[in-house]
Amino acid sequence: MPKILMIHPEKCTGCRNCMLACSYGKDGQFRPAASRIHVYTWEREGFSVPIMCQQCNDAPCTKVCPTHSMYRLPGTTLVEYDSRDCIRCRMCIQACPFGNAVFDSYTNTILKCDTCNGDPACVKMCPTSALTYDDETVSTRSRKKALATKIKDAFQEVS
Amino acid sequence: MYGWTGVILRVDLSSGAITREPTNMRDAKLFIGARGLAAKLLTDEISPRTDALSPGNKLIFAPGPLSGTFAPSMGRYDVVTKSPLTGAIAASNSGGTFGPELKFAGYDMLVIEGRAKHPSFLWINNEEVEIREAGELWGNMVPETTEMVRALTDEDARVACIGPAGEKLSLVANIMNDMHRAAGRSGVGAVMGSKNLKAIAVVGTRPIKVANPKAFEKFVKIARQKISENPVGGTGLRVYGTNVLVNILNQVGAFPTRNFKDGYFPSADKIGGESLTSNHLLRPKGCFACTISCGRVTKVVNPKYAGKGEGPEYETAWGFGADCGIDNLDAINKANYLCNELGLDTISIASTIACAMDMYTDEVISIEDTGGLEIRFGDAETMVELVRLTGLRKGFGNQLAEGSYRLAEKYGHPEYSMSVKKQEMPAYDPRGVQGIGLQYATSNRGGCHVRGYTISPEVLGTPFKMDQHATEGKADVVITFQNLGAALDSTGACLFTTFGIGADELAALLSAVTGVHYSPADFMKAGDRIWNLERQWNLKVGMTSADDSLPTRMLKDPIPTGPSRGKVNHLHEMLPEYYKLRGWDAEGIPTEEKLKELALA
Amino acid sequence: MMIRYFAMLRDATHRSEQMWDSPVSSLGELLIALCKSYGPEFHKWVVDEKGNLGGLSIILVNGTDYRHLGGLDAHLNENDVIAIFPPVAGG
Repeated sequence: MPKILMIHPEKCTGCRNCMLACSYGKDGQFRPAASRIHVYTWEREGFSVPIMCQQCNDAPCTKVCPTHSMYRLPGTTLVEYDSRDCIRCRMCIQACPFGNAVFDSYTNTILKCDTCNGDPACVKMCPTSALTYDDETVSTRSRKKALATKIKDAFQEVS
Repeated sequence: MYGWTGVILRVDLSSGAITREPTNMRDAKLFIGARGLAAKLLTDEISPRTDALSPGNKLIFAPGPLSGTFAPSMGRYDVVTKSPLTGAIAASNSGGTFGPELKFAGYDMLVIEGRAKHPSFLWINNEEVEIREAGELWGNMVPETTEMVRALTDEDARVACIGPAGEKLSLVANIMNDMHRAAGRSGVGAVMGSKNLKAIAVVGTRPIKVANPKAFEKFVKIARQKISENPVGGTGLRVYGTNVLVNILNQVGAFPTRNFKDGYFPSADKIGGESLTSNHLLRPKGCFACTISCGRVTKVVNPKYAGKGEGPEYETAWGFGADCGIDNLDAINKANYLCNELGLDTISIASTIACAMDMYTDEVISIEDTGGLEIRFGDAETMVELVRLTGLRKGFGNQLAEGSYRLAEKYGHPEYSMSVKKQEMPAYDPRGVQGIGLQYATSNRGGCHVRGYTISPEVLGTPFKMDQHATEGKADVVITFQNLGAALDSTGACLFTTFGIGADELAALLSAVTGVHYSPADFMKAGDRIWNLERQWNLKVGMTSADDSLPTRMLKDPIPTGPSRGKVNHLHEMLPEYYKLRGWDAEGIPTEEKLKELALA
Repeated sequence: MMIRYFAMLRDATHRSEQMWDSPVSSLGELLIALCKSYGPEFHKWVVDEKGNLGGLSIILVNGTDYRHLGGLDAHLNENDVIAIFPPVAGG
């Protein structure tokens, strides 16, 4: 079954282990600036949110890529990137509405989450399960259930 | 270069000179990084007689070789300088993301020298480094300063700064980073203030390399597993924070109460971790690469003390709580938020306020001295107001800003100061726990628990259990914990990793990252070396064995109530053995032989 | 005797303290009775992975750690105050 990377910001502690796992997994060194996942922390609120490529079904990055280096294979959930034909025109970066495709001048390449071939390193290193790699159809089950629980509790309180 | 970046950044604020130099790799191997390596540089470069608040003092920001990697909970850094509070060497340790960012910018250490002519801030964007005028930054609280610096530099810059307390040279001022994390102790914020340096912003996008990736991955996996499987590192700290200790220390009768007049606080449960989790906690927070998440994001809704921020830690809840005779957790939270905003060390200012309450009760000081304030134990509103006044050096706060020792000495009664080497003792009563008393007395930075956390064996029973009231065997365990702590701090690791791992795992991680082989014995020896380096320097400053002591109250006045009733600390039964096992003479001076063994002679 | 519970044990027992009237001859016996009464959520904090009763938890009898009172054999009296903490720490 196709899987997707889910973020659960309410569990995120802002530790950035995911960023470290990503940059180390991709480049064998620690350079969070080159991580395909980023954690933003609002220090006043003490709240953190991880963010990475959403693997859009109708991905703008694939539409604008002149060399088809950004593409999706039919029947998959992954937007793939092949650096060999990439001419570094950076159109994908312009097109991505989420800022999740990035050009890295240090390695002269486009950085974008590829879910580590279906075994995302960030998920494995997250100490609080703020990142999960779930079957597409059940990915939001826990959120639905949490809402349902609140409704149930509210009804029980009234009755 | 692996683990280390191999570069030291030096900024002379007097001349405006910005220079880079190679890290001395012989020293790096011997002193590791962070606390150890920075201590080596400081003690090589400044005279022990330097006035701590003069341009001659240096202020060093130093992450460790493990900082910036995903070694679990090992992203910390130290601020090393000569302390204006103690006169001894200061090494204040902080988490957050600031330390690793310095590494990513390419630096093993940032050395600040001199004094800027005008209030300034420093902007480090990888190799581009600028000293800029602080302008309107000066005078601002920590959160506003942090946001303003980001607006002037980069919206994602990591910022370390001082609040009004540091600007006004309070000897209990800290340096804050990531808005809520503190290099707290020994008045390091005053040193930054004396240099006219308001803030440091850093952006780093360079890599940190690992010498032996396969081994590193293996040891990271082992360390993570051991920490997460340990009930303390894996569950307890995330659920309750460090404040879970309140009830434990109170139940064993070692919870200092009303400026250490007692060791038991009947309403302790109201200010403990259980209450904090039920009533104030929004969510746990973790520092860089942390897997433990002891940080507390909290909120107070009570309009009188309303606010939001991080904390309190155990020490803070104790200080503003039991030590001031207060059991109002809303007020304690508020005092903690104010400290983080003003840039004050919670332990020292809380204990200083408790000292003032004690002197007021005993009529050593009067309402004329306090500027019209009645300062009584248990008065939460006045406590919160005194924190604010201290941060701004207003009214009686101007006297509190000097710390408890100078306050009590001014009125002719230094015995009211619950401090060692003029630094306030933390939240474990040395009359109820013997070994921690020896630790306080011998700590190279004065009253401090993290230099040798003997509470683990003496109270918590980890990794083994010792009788808290016994003196036998304590000298040995204090030394082991002090050496382990010195080496651990120097790697960039968090002390809480020891609730899961020890020297074996730390030495293996350090070896894998740096490519320099450290056996567990080498690692412990590095800790011994760092400890002796700090000691030697403190002796050169003029300290003697007479400074390895405790307040008279700890030695003479028995705890009046609770489970440790009747106990005093028996320091003098432990200290001679401590000196002997350290390889020091009867005066506490390291022998020539010992220094040679440690490559310090 | 009075039993006080702390940290996760308050969630397991849904209380912070209780009076205990049934006679028990030793601390070990009391812990077994408590495990029976509060079930696995209690059991998991006072028994370590090797099955040792007491495990890493901190148990005080009138403020003294049971490990200095003869361990699980510690004799309990009717006026004793027992404090039980799961393995927690801080600093």
